Amino acid sequence: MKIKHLAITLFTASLALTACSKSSDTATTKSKDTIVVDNGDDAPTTDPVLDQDSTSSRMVFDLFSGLTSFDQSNKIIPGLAEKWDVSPDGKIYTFHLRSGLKFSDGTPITAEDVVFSWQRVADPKVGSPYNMLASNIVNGQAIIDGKMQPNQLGVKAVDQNTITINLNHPDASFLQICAMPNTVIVSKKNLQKFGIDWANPKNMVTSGAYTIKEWIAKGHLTLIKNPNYYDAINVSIPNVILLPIVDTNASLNQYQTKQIDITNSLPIDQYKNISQQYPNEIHTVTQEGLYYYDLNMSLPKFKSNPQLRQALSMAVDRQVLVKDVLGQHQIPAYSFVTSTVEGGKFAGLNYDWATWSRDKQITKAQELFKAAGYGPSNPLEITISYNTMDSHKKIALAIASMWQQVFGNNSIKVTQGNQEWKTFLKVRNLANYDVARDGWIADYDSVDSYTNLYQCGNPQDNSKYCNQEYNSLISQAQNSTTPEQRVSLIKQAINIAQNDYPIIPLYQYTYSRLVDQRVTGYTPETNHLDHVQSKWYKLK
Amino acid sequence: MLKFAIKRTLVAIPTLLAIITLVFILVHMTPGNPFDGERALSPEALKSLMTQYRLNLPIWQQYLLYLNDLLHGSFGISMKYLGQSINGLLFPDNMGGFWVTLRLSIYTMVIAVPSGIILGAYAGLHKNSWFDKIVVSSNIFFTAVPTMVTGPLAVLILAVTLRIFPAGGWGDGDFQHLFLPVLVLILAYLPTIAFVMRGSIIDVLNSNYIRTARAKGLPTKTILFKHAIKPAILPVISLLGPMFAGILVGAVVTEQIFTLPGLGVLTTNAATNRDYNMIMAITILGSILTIVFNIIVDLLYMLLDPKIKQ
Repeated sequence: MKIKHLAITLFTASLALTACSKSSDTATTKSKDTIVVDNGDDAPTTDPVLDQDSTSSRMVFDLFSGLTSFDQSNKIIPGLAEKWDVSPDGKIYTFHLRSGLKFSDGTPITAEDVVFSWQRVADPKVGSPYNMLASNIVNGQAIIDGKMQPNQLGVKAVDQNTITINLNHPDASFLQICAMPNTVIVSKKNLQKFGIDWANPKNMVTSGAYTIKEWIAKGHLTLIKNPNYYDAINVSIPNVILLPIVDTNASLNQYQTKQIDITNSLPIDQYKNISQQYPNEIHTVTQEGLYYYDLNMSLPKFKSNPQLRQALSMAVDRQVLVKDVLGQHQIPAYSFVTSTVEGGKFAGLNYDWATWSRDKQITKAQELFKAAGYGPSNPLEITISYNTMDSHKKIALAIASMWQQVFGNNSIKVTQGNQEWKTFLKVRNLANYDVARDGWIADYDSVDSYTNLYQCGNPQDNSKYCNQEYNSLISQAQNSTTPEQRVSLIKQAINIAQNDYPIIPLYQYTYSRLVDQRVTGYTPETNHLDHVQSKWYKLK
Repeated sequence: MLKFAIKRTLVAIPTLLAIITLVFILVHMTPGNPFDGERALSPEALKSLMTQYRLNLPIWQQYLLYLNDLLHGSFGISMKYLGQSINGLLFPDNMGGFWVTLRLSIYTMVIAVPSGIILGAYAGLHKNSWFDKIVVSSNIFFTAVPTMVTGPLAVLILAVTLRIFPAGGWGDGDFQHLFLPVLVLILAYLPTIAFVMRGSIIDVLNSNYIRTARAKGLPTKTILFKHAIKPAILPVISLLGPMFAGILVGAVVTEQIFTLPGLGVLTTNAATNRDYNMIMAITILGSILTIVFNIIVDLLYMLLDPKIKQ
């Protein structure tokens, strides 16, 4: 009898719990009003200035607008500013806001909000990981360093609808910086009203195409159309659900069962099958980013031995790596910058040996390895460090095998050192490794995204490489007077860094996703930066 | 009995404090910090975040401030979901976090416990029959085959191939979305309950007082329902407390396979992101649940077994 009572009590409790819970908005049936998109993970922050990852950026692009915006081909188009003027010296930008702009709560968007939003980017108290976006603005660096107040930033409201931004030196990519998720415009009034809690979805006021309706950690983020958005007439889908599906297999399953319309990525080991199964739905796009290995330049064996560094780089067969190991149309990399950045201005910088036959590459690599002092009598012992993930492991095993084939098993001993993510970051940052996997995805289409990586003391300079000549050329390029001079100086700098071999460039990334055929208006093929806005989507 | 419950609760306080202290130390000793990322933060930004989250203070000071927060009912602010309170993430107004896992656990227990007891009792009564062999072998099978195998198999067959159920997600917490995760959890727990019940009923039926009852000529039905079931169920009850608490904080694999926004997923997410406050909160919650369920089990024992009461 007691068991019966227990069962009845538990069953009643569960029914009560079901009845009491509010119904959520996750659509499982396909509706023309709702699109369901896998965003790969939860966005760690809803505050745009704190955004530093692709999942948050994806959300911010839907919720907020900057002065400028990206189109689907990563070209700059007007955002909240309908037009802008640039002074002849390229240092002063004057932005003119569209008339009648409103936040989602109906309050007007003014030049004052723009000034406030930019000051937040630089303000060290806010702690933006992307505060460097304001470093070229007059007084920007001093504010970032805490030596000046944020209100001294060179962003000024001329009138209700006009803003001037003063730069220290001309920057060809500044209009792209104005379209970045960190520099979008937030409501000053709203932030002052709620303080740190303004980014709570309940309090948030947005300037973009959507607002947050509901968010469940690791559950779903439901966005609804913002009727006050300046381009609301072109936003065709009223509801967007972003799901945080980390496991690519789970994402694929839910795509196959028609629960989601767009996947974030695909399981690498199933790419071929998926391509055959969904030839019209799979999209594979070259991404503006590089995958590479750092050689720890603080270790004597690498620091004092450029021949060894070159030998290790030359011994890697990148064609085999991209075709047989990865197989998602990645592009072999023989340069420190991609061939696609800035419309291909830096495409011809590959190592000259990139075009050699494989046999010739191997012979030269063997010679260099020997000249570096290594061989059967003095074998090289190295560990490849990477964070635990199947794809990194596959690559590390392949490269270890290539090195052993080229230099001989007696001459090189390679150990695999996989680590948990945060531990790996610490190890790499403190340079407690021999060779470490690394990667960089450009935030905007500028060669600076890559050249900054190799500057002395840059926090991303994980190989601990430092060449003052390189730094000096990059600095000169930043202050150059003509675009041609800038390109020429950067090319010289890149050649210097490449010939120092502090890293081994391996391949240029691609991203792959499935897009249901009911979704139109989304053309990822030219979207190398993978900046996506849900307002582009339409449903058949 | 009330006195017993109060005594047990008071004894639990130092246990809980010891757990909090130990986990606090371990969490802060783990390599890496919550704000390490692929893109290294500038020293100023890092300093600002460390100050906001009090990580710039000496560890003993952080510990005391954390205890103070706990005494005021706050688990602190998440370091993964910047600016969001842990209380809000764990116990949201709408369905998510603890509520998801609680619902999963209740459905699982409501189905698995009575079915396990009935199946186990029947198998025990018919020892060595084909039915008994199925119960024993299914226990061995499902103990050996974990949810990380049954889960994807269930998805492959019932969702991707046959398209009967969704492949994952919480939906509205409806029957369709809950069926597969609850099924997988039942498969993980029911055989154990049945197996323990089976062993227990066999032991009881072989005991002297049952033999005496039989010798006195009591009908089998009376022997079974009046004299055997009650003592036989005791080992099952002792199993249920930790089991319920275990599903509540430990359905990690099931929640990951079915992409459910429950405590298990929040736990792994917190661990990989070094969300110190979230790890602490889930550990404390898990400890409290385990302690509470153990007290409930002890109280049930007292109700069912007069010997223990004495």
